Amino acid sequence: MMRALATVTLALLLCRCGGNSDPDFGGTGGSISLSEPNVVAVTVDPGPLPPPNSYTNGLFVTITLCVPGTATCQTIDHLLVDTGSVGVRVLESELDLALPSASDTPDVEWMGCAAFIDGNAWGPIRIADVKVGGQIAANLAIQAIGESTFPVPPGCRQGGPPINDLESLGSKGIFGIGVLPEDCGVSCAPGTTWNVGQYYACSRLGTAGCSKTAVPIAKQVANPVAKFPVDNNGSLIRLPRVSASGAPSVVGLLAFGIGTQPNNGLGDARILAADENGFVTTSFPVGVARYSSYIDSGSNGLYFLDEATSGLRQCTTPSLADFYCDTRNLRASLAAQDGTEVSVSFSVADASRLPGSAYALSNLAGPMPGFPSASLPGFVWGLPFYFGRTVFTSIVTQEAPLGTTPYFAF
Amino acid sequence: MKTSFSQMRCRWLWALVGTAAVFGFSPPARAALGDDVAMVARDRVVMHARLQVLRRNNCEVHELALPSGTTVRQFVGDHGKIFAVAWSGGFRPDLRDIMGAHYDRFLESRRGKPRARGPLRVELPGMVVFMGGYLRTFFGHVYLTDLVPAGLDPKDIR
Repeated sequence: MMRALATVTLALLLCRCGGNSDPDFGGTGGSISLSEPNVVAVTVDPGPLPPPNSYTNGLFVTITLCVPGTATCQTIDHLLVDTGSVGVRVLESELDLALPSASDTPDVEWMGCAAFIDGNAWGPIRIADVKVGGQIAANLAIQAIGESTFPVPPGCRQGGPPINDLESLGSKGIFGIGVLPEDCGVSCAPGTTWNVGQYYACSRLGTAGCSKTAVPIAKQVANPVAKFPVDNNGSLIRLPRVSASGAPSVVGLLAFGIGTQPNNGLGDARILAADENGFVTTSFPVGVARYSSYIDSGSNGLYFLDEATSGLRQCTTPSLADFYCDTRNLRASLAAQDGTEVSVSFSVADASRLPGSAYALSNLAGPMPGFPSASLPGFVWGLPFYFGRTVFTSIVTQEAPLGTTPYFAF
Repeated sequence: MKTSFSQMRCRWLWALVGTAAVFGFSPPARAALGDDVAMVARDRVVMHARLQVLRRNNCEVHELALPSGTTVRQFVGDHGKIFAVAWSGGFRPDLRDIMGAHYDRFLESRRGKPRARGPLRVELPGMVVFMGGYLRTFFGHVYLTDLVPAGLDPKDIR
């Protein structure tokens, strides 16, 4: 019932009522209309869980899954749009479709054990036609998250708590569209010298159970964007500006392709230098210190430095300990591919003074846990970075205009 | 990773004590947080890892290079116990191996908590855990507050 209601709400938001062009977006890039086939609406809203477990700064999209090659489909709302992971993952509890198994051996199911920050998502690898806006990734390997096929084996219980349900996930799934083409690559493929245990083969025969397995790269959980027939070299996310006190929700755009259509050109966006893992370099204070960093729509805040290095006061209230309780307007710069620096203005709010009704916040910020360390990032540019900007994410294996992939641009 | 954070308080002394590459069967015992240093040698077997022992001025660091490409560093104090473990690399190591008896306590503390929406810091009685990750990179550390040697800043555990 709740799902039906949510779907109706989203349907209204998605209503393609002619001339529906973007509202007050800042940043680079041209005009984009929701009615264009490579565009889909995204929302920042509380997500599927009621307070106090609602999502702050969760960016969500609605997708349609179909049994491959058929019109048997289901629409699922509130998948987290995540440029920090790769692959479509949907809670089994939200799935009504009987999707075919990715495994080509009868009685053997391929299961994914996908690592996220504080735990692992477990569940069977399925094949679906995935529709997003007017785009279709046919026969895409996705993960259904849940334990109804096989319970989590011990080897997948060693990476933190399971994140296999709505309560732990905070969304109905994850729409991972980061810079990589698939979720694991050679380390999980046949011929790997050390299987890292991201895929398991589970047998229904006897008591064979589950064991680590290798899955060919072409059959691993894939970046849906890379599998679109066109507009497949990356994506852009455009969110409106929000005021310093935030907003209960906002609607933005996710457009596919970079420089493949009149609506997704780079314009005067600057291309950042990213390494093969997607890390970029942040300078803060500008020209003084440089830090490894990453841009991630799936992180809900700006996480950077620590109290001593940033000069910002950390909240002392235990429930806010992850955040800064200081109000500042700051400037950093990100290293561009052409060797220059791109200036970034950002704001930090006093987290203790942010309205509880605001679920879209451009100034939610906190210290980077574990900082300082030579081997850890100093800056996480999470969702607040996206408000008032158009941020491009290219995919490493694809050709994209004007730069060496992978890159971010804004 | 680039950082100009220059003045590290606990400087590496980089006295290389030993390097070993070990392959073979896996005995059940493994050295985890709070365990005795004598257990570490068995870890390189269990984890099929290469081991380097490095000496700092107030601790010894046993660095395990896992076949997955991930590096695990076990910090041993003069008391001979592992007081901290740090990891970084393309895949998250087995946290039960790393935390040992403390792993279940960590899991219990996360029960019912929403998924981390950014890098995570968990403080438990006597234990601090930090975990982060992005795409195919994972990093984190855990330490036992009561076992951290005097004069060592927990920030130098990495």
